[in-house]
Amino acid sequence: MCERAVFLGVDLGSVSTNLVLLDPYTDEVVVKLYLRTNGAPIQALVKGMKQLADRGPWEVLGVGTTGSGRQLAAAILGADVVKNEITAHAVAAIKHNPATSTVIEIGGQDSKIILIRNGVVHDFAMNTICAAGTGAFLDQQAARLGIAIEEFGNLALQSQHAVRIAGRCTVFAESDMIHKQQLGHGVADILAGLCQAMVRNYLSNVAKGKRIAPVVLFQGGVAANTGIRKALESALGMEVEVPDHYDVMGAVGAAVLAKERWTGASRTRFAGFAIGDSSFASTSWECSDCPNHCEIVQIARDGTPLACWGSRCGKHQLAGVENGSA
Amino acid sequence: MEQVIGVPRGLDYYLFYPFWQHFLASLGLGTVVSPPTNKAIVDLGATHAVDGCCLPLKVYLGHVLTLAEQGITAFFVPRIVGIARREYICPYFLGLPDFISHYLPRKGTEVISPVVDFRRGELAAAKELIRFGARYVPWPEAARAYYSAWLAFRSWRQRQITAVAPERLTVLVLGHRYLVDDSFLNQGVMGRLHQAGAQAITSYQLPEAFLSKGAKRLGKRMFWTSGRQSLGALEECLGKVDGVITLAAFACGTDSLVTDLIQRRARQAGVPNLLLYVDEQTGEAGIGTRLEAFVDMLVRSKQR
Repeated sequence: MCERAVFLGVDLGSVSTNLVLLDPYTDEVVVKLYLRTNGAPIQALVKGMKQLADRGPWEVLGVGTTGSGRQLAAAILGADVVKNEITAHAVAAIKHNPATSTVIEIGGQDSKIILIRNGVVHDFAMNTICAAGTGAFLDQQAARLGIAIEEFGNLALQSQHAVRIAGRCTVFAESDMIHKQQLGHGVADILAGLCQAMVRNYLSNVAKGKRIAPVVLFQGGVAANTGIRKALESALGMEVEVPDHYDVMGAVGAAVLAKERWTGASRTRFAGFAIGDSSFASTSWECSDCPNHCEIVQIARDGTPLACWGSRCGKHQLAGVENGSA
Repeated sequence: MEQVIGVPRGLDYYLFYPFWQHFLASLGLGTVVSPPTNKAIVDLGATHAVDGCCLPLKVYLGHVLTLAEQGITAFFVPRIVGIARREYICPYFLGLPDFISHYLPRKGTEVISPVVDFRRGELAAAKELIRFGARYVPWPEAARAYYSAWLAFRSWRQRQITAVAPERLTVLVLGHRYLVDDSFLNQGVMGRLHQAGAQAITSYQLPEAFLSKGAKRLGKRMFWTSGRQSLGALEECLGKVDGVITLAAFACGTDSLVTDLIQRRARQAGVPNLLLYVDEQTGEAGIGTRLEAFVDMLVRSKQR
């Protein structure tokens, strides 16, 4: 069997770890994996790589990583490009639909808005100090109400009359929801109210002062929630498109960026699928050489240090990969 | 016995230190400056300061307490009323000596706080400072000390004026000088920009006349000096820079207004702008990711 050439994109996020193999000629997504990180990013990544290897064989031409764990993923995989989530999501959105003007991305622990003009990022914003209204909160509330997160959206759509929930702060939102339950409101109405509250919060916090123009793409794990999508559409008064690969757009973007970097002559740093059989360990300690007490993290593969970071002064630094600037 | 005066490396230090260094030395006063801000200093200040005050003030207190831990008993904390004619600065500066005294033992410590007030012009301010100097040396000597310090200060300011290479990717960094110049607090924003291949300029590297000229074009007078400088720099730099980054301190009163004005103006002029809030949290992910994405954005649109 012949090895198929692909680019690998990885989005190591707080809630999910996504891997994508991209066809170098058509930019089609060949394989996509959406795994729960479950607080164990290394294990999630290694598990994902094993699953990819099982569906091979692949010839990986280049690797791109993104997400809050992009450095970690880069160190383990041997990435060619390490990019922030904003650039990765924007690149994937433009690839999906070149007419995209606005990207609304709501992930596990952050949410962002990206404005695109003439095919380049023009402006962006991320949620600031508070992560109210992101996927992790929806997960938590679904669990509290005893419903599967996958059913959340459809249940919210059944609502006839959405109740008003305070969405500024998730702590207050939760007490508001409990109060509304005690008053006897139905679950569907409460969920629909929660969707509206989250959208209100997003628009007034993250998208504050930004001009949202069509085409609007909605991506990130929360885009699976049809209730949120409907609430967004009615608040914005325009159609909101959810791309097919909405849940792995960051990984798609990372793969596209790896392809952009690839010249044909360049060799990838990819460590190979064998990493699935290696054991990775991370150790961390507080450096006490100066009063800053930086938290140093070291990643080792089978006992050999791969990468080390975390100091402000550059001491202990062992770069697994350079930070790719486009 | 000669007393060593502790100079906290915070707030006004970044604006005036060369002046004080000269002036105090000419008055025969020995000084020691607290070390550059580090985590221990931030923690010390944040633990002791009242909840409501801004981050830079907490950090300033951290510097004072660090000096106190080193056995310093005299602290140089000027009372700054205004640093430009008919303009104000943050009122915390006005009450700074009182604020700091509150955290020091009453017995055996001295807070040295000359009054700095340029609201009625340089001459009035000079008189006040010479009067302060005359507490340590005879009057004429104090006057000489003042003028030599003033000249040294002016030439320091002059040396900072930087020419901008127009062909390079340029980012204007705005904000209080004690944020822009404190690379610990801002998590190395300037260094990160340089690393990413951008040239970063601040309003302090632009001539004062340039800033005032820009500020004149505002619809209304900005009466805080730092705000006027930031907005003036922005006005004058529109069309000359690729992007604007605003550093704002958590819980800063003047920033809450000025940053919004900066953002509105930049948006109106179509200049990409990024607002970075600086707070006590040590996580670098927030600033790093945003900065990286911002520079990416500028580079990619310049390539077009």
